[in-house]
Amino acid sequence: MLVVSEHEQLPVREARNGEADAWGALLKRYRLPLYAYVFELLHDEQTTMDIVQDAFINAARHIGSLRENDKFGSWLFNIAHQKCAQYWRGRHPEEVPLDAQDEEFAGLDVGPQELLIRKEQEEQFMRILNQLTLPHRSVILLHFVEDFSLDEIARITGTQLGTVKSRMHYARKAFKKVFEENQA
Amino acid sequence: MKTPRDLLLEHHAGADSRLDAIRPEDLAACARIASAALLRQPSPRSLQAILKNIWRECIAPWRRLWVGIVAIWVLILGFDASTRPAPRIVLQNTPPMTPEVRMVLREQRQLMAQLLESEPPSQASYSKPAGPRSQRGPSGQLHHAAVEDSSSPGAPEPVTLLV
Repeated sequence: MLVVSEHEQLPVREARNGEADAWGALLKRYRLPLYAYVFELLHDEQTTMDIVQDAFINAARHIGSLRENDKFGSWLFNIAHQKCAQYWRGRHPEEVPLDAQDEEFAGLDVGPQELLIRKEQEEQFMRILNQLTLPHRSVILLHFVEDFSLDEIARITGTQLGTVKSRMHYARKAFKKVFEENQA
Repeated sequence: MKTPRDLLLEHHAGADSRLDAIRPEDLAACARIASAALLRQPSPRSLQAILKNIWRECIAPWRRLWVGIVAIWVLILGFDASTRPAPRIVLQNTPPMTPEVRMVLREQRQLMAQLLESEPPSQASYSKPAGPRSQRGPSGQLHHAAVEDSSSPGAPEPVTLLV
């Protein structure tokens, strides 16, 4: 099986031609991050498995429509995000929708590599993450898990760039204590 | 110390074995079937595809601009409709017809009907006004005078005089 590291060229062209090895490499690269993203949004194991599987099957079916090969990751996450939004709308129609729009805020983008968590803060980190509203959690997860750019996050979540900046700002504010302690 | 990514992936590492259920062979087969189906299609240039393409490339990227143009046109049409004099108002402002006017109108209609019903004058029944043109009136510049009883054998030829 082909194994792809973070910064290697993804075998999207080969996957388009239906090569099993290429799909194996893409699976290896994205299945766990995608699972983490979906699970942290929905907190339902079976639904998460179904959505991850559906997302990959849809990707395989429609890979012909993907224009830029290097956008495979954000495209795959977008498929999964839409399925999460669909599931969420069906289950919690009265709650904040996953694709709700916030007011705009010109926040700053900070790479997730700069943010470090100590062992004793891990639980606190997960607790804060789960306290965030769904749209905020979605944005910060995409930032943490795949280090997607703000533009890519906007495309995946189907929101405006200003909204993504705003959500990122509030989410980072929530994690402020954890990160500030580590920086000190 | 871990990055949030490391922490999250570690948190869900247990699911990795369950994710083996998604087989790359199945995905590859899906992709092959889809690409074969795509190749079998003669040409996606149907009207729907063209419209979809126009929407995706021309309208969707400048959605706000199009909405603005439509709003401006709606405003212009609304303004035009509100400022244009309505013909109904003119009709309402005209005074009601008096019985005299009605009678005159009726007479005119009857007259018109009689004129239309009467036969048009035929070529045969048309007769020239009697007498020479010189006696009809001083309407022409060229005045002709004809000598009476010009049909008699000894009479001289009619003479035309220029006045």
